[in-house]
Amino acid sequence: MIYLDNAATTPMRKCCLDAIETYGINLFYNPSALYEGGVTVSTAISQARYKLASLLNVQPQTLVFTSSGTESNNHILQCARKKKGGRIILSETEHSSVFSVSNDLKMKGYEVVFAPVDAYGRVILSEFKKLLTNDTCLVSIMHVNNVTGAINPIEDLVKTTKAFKKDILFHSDGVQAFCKVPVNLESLGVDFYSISGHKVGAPKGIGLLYVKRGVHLSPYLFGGGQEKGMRSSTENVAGIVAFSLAAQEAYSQMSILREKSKLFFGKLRDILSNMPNIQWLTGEKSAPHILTFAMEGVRGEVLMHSLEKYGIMVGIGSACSSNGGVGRVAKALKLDNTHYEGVIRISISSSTDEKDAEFVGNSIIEEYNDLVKYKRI
Amino acid sequence: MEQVILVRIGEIYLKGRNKAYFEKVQMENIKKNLADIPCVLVRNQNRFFVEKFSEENTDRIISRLKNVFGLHSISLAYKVSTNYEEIAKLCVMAAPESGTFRITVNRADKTLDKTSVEIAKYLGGEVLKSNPDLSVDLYNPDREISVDIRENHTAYVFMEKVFCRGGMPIGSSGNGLALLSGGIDSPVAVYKMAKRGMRMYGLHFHSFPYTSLKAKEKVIELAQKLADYCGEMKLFVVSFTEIQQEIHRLCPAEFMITIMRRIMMRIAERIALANFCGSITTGESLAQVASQTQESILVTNSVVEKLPVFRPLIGMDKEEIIAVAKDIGTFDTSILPYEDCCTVFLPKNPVIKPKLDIIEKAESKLDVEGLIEKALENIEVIEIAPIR
Repeated sequence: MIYLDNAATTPMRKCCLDAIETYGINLFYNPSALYEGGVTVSTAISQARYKLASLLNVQPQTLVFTSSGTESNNHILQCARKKKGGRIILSETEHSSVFSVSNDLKMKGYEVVFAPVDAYGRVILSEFKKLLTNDTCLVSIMHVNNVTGAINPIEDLVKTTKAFKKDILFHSDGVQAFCKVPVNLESLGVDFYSISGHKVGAPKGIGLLYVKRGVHLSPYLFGGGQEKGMRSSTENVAGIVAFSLAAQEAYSQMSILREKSKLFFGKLRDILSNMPNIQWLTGEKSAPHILTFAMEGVRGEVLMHSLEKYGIMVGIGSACSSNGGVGRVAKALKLDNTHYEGVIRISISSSTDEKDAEFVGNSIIEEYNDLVKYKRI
Repeated sequence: MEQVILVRIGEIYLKGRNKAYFEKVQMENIKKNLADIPCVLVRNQNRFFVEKFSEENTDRIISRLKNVFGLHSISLAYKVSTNYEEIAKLCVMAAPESGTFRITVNRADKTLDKTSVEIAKYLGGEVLKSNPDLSVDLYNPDREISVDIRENHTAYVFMEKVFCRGGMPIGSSGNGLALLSGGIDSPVAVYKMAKRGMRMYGLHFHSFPYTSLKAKEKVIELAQKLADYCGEMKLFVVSFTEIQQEIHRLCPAEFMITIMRRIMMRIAERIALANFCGSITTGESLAQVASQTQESILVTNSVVEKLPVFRPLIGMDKEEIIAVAKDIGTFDTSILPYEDCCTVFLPKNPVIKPKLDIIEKAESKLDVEGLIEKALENIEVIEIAPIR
């Protein structure tokens, strides 16, 4: 099996297993309990928070554990302080966990506008600037584009936003950025930042939300007041500890990932350049784990299935939108009719074998040549 | 006093000399549906009784029986020996706290000294004595209490009647094979035929890699849902990719769907015959799409040589079909947006009124026999059973 859909999810790292067993069976106590066992697990949560905070260069108390990147994104869009009827700016290619909430916000009377992106999915700063108004209350722009891998100039976008009006809140969805590109939340200057565990080798069901000190945010879930009242519900202790361990490991392997990226994608680009009219959707300023292209005349999903017989698994844009919303991003990237449905996303991890690049590239070419014969009439 | 579930049969009631056969099939179907719940099933004239079950299983038994074809209705009842005072006590218990009521008595035991009306009067009097706030309303009561006095010195007192789906017991009309595309219509067609007592087999064509595995998963999910009503179902999955590629290569684009459907019907007939199915069922509804005109149906039907083709939805509007799909719970799965094999090579302008001779001529370029044999070689069989 050659798994090349690491932007969709990653296998759980072995280092998580111990944590899951320890905090699932031996130290299963409720962290809110006042007896010794409870205090022990509560301490484990603090330590995990500490470790993650140090990877993000922020104070631990700014981090809130959630169940997923989707929950973190929803929390911000729904609960960040917003002027009634004010303007919310998103990028055209936001993940569906941001985009879908914006539909709900529109219904509630907010004005939602979209910052255009270039052909590689990167927000165009000058165009973004034009959207800022006195009414603007919230901006949400993904750090790394989940379809193309483009790295958005978050630091510049935040500076531009804050220079226009200081109290506009800025959120960035960092799900595809964390442990792939350097993330220094202090210097990025964002007010909120979302992270997901399973993209870095933690189990599914654990996420993180950064809330800058002094920035007000209402809770999304109410109840027992866990996470300093910001996210009620009994903490997923095993998930939290496993997340911190997985993140530390992934972080330490970022340079390996960059190296693999050069070798694997370099080779792949060479081979795939022979494909007629291939359109590269991943540009230079992009995260190391993603390479995306659009083919002419063959649907991405069909090629994806064809590659399964070689044991090769690739993505077609975003797994989270494969239930119907693929077209939105293709439209934002201004793909023409012949490339519109032909998007393939290849995403690697630090354990991808660069020697597979040649086989993968040749298999893609072979299958493409076969399938293009049955182009739709 | 024991709580039991009274089960009334539907159309079998009208059967003549072969009634015993249908009742036997019905009894077996009920038993099969309740196999995992400890209880006893008793047959008594035109009724069945589920007895000796524990209280926590009451709702489970009722919800299962509601979906067993062939049944008319069910009621949760109290069983006592035929003793007027005992029955009266139960009626008092069953009466509402205020408002109106009526007592309906059905007396199968003709050896009793009172008529049904006399018994009802006595029981009603006892209820009124116990609660003077109540009054009798024979025509529009707030609650109807029914008393059924059987010949074996047993009486049943019940209130609510839960209506079942009617139809005929599964298996009493033989076996049939249905084409299951994954859309809204075909599951409804399966349901309709199963309701008339047919044990259903499903046949699905996929066009991997052109259709996704999710499309197949969707059909399995639909079959799973249908199994709640139809019982176990064998689902045959046949790859249609090569056939479509050949049609695409050798035949005019506008005939794609017509020729595809002719080959599907041929494959269906072969699978049906090999599995002792006496018919083929499709979800066609007249004029719904290009392949469902009289002319198209004539052309696709003409390849089926030995079996009848049933189209239970032929005269139904889409809205009517959707209503059934929602009722049986297949609609939400059917509308999942996975492409099926019919839409993959869909031409812009499919022929609406195909002519048999022209289609036959176009089709003659294909090695139909060879393609069918190859498709049948790699058939996948999935056994679906109701999830209990």
